[in-house]
Amino acid sequence: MYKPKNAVLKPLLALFFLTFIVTKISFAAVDGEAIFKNNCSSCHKIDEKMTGPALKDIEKRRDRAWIHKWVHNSAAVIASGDDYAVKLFNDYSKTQMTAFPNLKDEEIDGILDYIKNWKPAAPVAAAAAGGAAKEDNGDAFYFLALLFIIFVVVYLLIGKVNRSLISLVNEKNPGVLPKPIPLYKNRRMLGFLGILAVIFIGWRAADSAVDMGRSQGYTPTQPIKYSHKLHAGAVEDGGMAIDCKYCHVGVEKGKQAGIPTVNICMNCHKAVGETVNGTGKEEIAKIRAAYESGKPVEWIRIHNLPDHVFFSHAQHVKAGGLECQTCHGEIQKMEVVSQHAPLSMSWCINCHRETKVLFNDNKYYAMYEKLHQDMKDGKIKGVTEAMMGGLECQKCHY
Amino acid sequence: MEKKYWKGFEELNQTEEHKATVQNEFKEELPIVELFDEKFGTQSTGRRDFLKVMGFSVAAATIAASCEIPVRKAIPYVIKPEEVVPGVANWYASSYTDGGEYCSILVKSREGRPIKIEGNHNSTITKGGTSARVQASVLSLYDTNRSKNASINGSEASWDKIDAAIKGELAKGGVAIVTSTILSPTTKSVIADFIKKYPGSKHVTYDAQSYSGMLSANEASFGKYALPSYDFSKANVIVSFGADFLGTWISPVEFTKQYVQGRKLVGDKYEMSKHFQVESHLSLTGANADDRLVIHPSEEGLAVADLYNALNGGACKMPAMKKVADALMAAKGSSLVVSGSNDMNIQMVVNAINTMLGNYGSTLDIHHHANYAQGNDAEVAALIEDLNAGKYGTVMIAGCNPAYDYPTQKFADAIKKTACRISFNASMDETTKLCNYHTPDNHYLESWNDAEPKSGLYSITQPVIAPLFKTRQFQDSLLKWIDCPSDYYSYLQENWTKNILKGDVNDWDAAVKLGVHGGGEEVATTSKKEDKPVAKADDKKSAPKASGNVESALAAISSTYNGKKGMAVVLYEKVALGNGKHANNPWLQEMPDPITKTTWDNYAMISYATALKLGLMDNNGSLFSDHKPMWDAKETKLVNVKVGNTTIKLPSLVQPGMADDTIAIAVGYGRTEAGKVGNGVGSNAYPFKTWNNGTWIANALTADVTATSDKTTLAQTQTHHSYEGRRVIKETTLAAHKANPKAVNEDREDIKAMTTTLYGNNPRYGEHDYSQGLKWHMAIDLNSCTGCGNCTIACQSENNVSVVGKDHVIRSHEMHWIRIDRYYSIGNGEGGFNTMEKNINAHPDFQNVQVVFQPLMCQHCANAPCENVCPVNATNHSSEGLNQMAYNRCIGTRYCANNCPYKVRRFNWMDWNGADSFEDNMQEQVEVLGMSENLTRMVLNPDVTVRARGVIEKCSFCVQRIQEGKLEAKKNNMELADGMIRTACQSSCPADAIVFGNINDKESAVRKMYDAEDERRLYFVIEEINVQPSVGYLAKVRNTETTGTWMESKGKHEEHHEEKKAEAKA
Repeated sequence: MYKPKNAVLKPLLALFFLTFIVTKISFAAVDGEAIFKNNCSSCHKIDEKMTGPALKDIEKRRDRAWIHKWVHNSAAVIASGDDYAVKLFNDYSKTQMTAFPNLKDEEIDGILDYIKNWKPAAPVAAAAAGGAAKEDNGDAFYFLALLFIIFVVVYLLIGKVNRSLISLVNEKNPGVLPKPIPLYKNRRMLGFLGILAVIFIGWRAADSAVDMGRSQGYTPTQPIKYSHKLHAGAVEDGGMAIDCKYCHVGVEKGKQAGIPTVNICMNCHKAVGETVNGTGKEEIAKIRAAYESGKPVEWIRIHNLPDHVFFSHAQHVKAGGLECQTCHGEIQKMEVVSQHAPLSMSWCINCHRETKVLFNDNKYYAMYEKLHQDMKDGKIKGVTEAMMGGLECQKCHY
Repeated sequence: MEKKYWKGFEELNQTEEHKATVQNEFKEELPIVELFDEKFGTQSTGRRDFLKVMGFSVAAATIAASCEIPVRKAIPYVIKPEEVVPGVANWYASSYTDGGEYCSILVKSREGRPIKIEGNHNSTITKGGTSARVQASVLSLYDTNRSKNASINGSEASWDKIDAAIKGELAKGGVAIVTSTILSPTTKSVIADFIKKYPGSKHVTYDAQSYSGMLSANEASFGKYALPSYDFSKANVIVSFGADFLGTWISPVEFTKQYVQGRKLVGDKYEMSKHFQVESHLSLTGANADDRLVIHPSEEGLAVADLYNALNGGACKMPAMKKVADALMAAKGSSLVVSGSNDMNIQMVVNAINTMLGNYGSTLDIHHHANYAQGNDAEVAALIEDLNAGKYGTVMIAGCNPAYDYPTQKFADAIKKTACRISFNASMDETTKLCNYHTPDNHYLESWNDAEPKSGLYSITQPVIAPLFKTRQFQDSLLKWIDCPSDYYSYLQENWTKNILKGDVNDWDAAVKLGVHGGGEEVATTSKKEDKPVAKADDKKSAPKASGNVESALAAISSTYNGKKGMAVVLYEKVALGNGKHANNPWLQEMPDPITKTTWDNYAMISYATALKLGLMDNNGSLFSDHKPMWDAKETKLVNVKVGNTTIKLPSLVQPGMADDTIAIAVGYGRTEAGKVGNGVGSNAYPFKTWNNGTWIANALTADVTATSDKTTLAQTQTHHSYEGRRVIKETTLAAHKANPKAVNEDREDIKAMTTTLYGNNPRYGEHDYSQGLKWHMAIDLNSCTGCGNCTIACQSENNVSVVGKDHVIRSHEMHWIRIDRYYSIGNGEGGFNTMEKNINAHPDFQNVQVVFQPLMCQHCANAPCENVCPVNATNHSSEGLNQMAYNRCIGTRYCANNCPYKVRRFNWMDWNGADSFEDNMQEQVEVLGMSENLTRMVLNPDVTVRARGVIEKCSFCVQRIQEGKLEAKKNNMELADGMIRTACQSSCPADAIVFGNINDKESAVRKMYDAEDERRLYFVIEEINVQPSVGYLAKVRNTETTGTWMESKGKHEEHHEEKKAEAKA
């Protein structure tokens, strides 16, 4: 349903969250932290034991040269018969740490520096931000509700005063004023209400007809109670901050981001059988069962585009540089995923009108010489998809 | 002066029916009435009708409205194959082999499903070209008629059971292995192993289209039972005696690639090869010839002998041959003479001619022979005797169907006498029905294999999908039965490593990756090639000389070919369907024949004069007055064709370019066990082959043809989509073009002056600024296009174009997005636009027609008439110059199709793909085509919408490929390079006739072509109506003396003319 207040607030909110996310990410751009989050955090926490050991004070236990070797190829270290390594291997139910031959020594050092300087952070910023947002939202609603109540009270008061005055007049001079017609018999009133009803029903009918087949807010129960908040959520929120692309491997390559295949789940869940709180055993068992039986998990598809729509994740994420959250909402905070965007054509089109493409960064756009000139001359600030034909039918329908 | 171009006699004659068809493009209303009974709306009780409709609508609306959004599942892999990314296609190099047919290919696979085939540019043979059959082979993979399991006497049996049973049978006695030509050296090695294990066995090669006379001739001439390698690109003069080398003869894709090299006029080159065709029916190759001589089949040998005599300075009966001989003598060493005849004597003389001309070593190479045909008719005949004598305990049939295509019943009768009969064929075809064991082979897309198309050139077939059914590869079965421990894949790899790669294991992976072996070529490296012993110790450097007794061959020819022009039958293969093996492939059945433009049938092609003689048309002195010639009613009379004791009843088709007293019939039709698509389509003409000198000849020199009064309708598309006589073709002669390259385009100056600039911005579409970014254009060289029709099938495969079936083709409902218009013309046009009757009277026979092919698809007009009339803006223009079609907006008014001057828009009269039908409620005529079944629908391209009933569709310039290419560039942060985006028609074209690209890119091929040819040959079809199309055509150039025909030089006509002259003098 169309809510006027949302029209103003949602973009504001979205913008707010976007800034929030963007700032968070720019913070995370510090070398070691980013590398840690992308590569290590799925199995390691700094202060807690997970798939792998807690990494706090790691440098007190081993020197950097050993760690370099271990990270590059842990199997080789174990094979060399290194006592510490063998013990580690046995302690962690004989699972090997994934080798990272591509990580440079400096990058590993960066991780180690990050671990050394790490302090358990209180999630102040996030809490504050969330609170402010809620308040914002509430204010407007209460304000409108208050106005409405005041309006009703004033209306009733005036009516009461009016009736009192009429009855006073009637008492003094009977017959001067006609007998007041009750509201439910007032023809003007009924006519007015009738028109209102027709307008309302018509509007609702049209609105829901337009909405037919759309399912914003769709939150089905999935066969496995998977939590994005736990896996992809910020560490401060009790999440593991696994990069989206670790599981959704197709997002930069093809149309589909891809529901993770069971073998990807099993990269971690071979070792991880429960959460730190000891919950989730049943759900993880389902994955293991699927892996063993070879019977795929039948997830319920939430984001459904009609068959005649061509949409490519690679186009938007890789070429367009968009964040997942732009369309999927704050997925990293969702315990259960629900459809954030309406996925209507107007929603698509609107974004194509407003969002600036990476015009100067991508060599592909070099052929738009005039637009480049216009930008240089300051005639336009940026180039949207719409300026290059992004609203045309056969950009998405063919 | 204008030449008159026409697509068929009905157009030339402007019959009433034709005019009506042209004016009323969509004669039919939407077939809604079928929903109700016949009396609907006619009775007085309108109230009841109203209630009926009302009730239906309310119920339907209620059901529709109460439907919840269905829950859709997203089911990922359990373990994802590393190379698969959902939504991203994988490409695998492979080789298409089917008997002796060969094409190096790339297979596009989506989520493990092969959906499209492209040519492999690494190949030195097919060089990225494909044929219609190669394109359609991907559909055969999903043929519902394929056998789904092995069986004994028709009932399913497990492989273990069948293996045990067959091994028992094999122990009983010798095995006769009957296969079609095998290109694979490793398969031959498996067969050799098999024969070693079971002594007394024999491998016999049988090909439905026999080249055994030619092979025998080569054996006699050069001591080698093999075909030479041809190189048409080196030939300045090409003479073909009935060899349809661009359509069906030996290796058409390879030959087309070579042929067009000599035909293209690039830059300032004004040189072209000269092509003479001598034939009795109009073939695809004949249609492309510069000069074409029509002869009666009984003159075939005489023509070759005449040429031989003329080259030797002797006398010749046909004056035309003198002319041909002169041209050949002038191009000694760079000419090529070929003959399509299977008569050994003719081929001996052809070999002698080529030797005389010094063509061996330049255009011909017998040292590096081709393996495309290995069949031996005499051996097959001997085998039949042996089978009858009970010499073999087992007979195996692999890849051939002699019960259907052997000219006599003898083969079918003979194999019935063998106790154990095993068929490896993919389906329960005619021969398999006669076998007690059916061990179906995999489709080639499910198989490992190799090929040696020419000696020393190797390529690999790799599977792109696991077998869909419980089938097993032919070679694996053989290996199993000889108790070989390894499977065929290991056997193949071992054979390659040992014998072909000579121990270099790394080359195996490279070869699999490239599809062809050795540094991107099929050549197994030059040095290794030289190592190979060449049969007979000929000196490699010196050109071989044809030995053998030419004189006796000439004598034999003159006794066989008497030149007595009685009624004769010529058999030919159709470009699409070939020998009939793929008769169950609806794409091939519905592909209009390049020449007759007929689908779903074979027929007796008859010359105009003979049709009159046989009474196939009414003729009371005046042909086209108040009488109804057969084509008016679109009905043709059936004729009885009798050769020997066999009579076949066929529809007749009057065909320009036919020799008089000659009936040409396509083989490959009349299958009885092909499957539901191919069964009963046409009639089987194989029995008309005649046995001569140890080979089967594809003609019968004496036949009896009688007209019947029965009539039928042929699904002929030739006059569908009419231009109503507007001028769409431009052509010139080489001499004229050389003298004044701008002559062809003189008239364009006026047109250009009237319209805005060619690439400029049309004010009507002011919102699109075409001067930057992308603007898609295409250029089609009519001089290169051979009209083979491969693009039609490539487009069908890429764009999910529907098949509609014969009945609907008759009603002009065919859906092909790209059609190839074939125009006939007669004379040099001195009469200008004279009346039709005059045209016909001026040309009493239609033997000597010239042909132009014009591929036509949506022209993506910048000022498109279709866009203006759409009431719902479903078709509109993009900033990249594409005429876009939004199917979901389309409400099916068909105004756009009516308003399209090029007639390229197609309407979905039915739910052809089963996209939006209720289950089990499919239209009968849709179901019979088999395209709506789940298995068949696996061939659909998931990136292209499957269109629903009631919407218009048309060529999109392969917009899905455009979008994919653009995204690829963006993803890799690079500029869009020319050639990154190739349309399906363009990339499949063996003639490289189609160029596509961004006209704003100064380096693009299309821009360069436009710039270079703007004043010379580039023109746009009906440019004068200012629709500003985006497809440019390059005018056709003929390497001939006049734009007129060559008939004057033909013997018969020369006499005729002399008589006339004499009369005039008198």
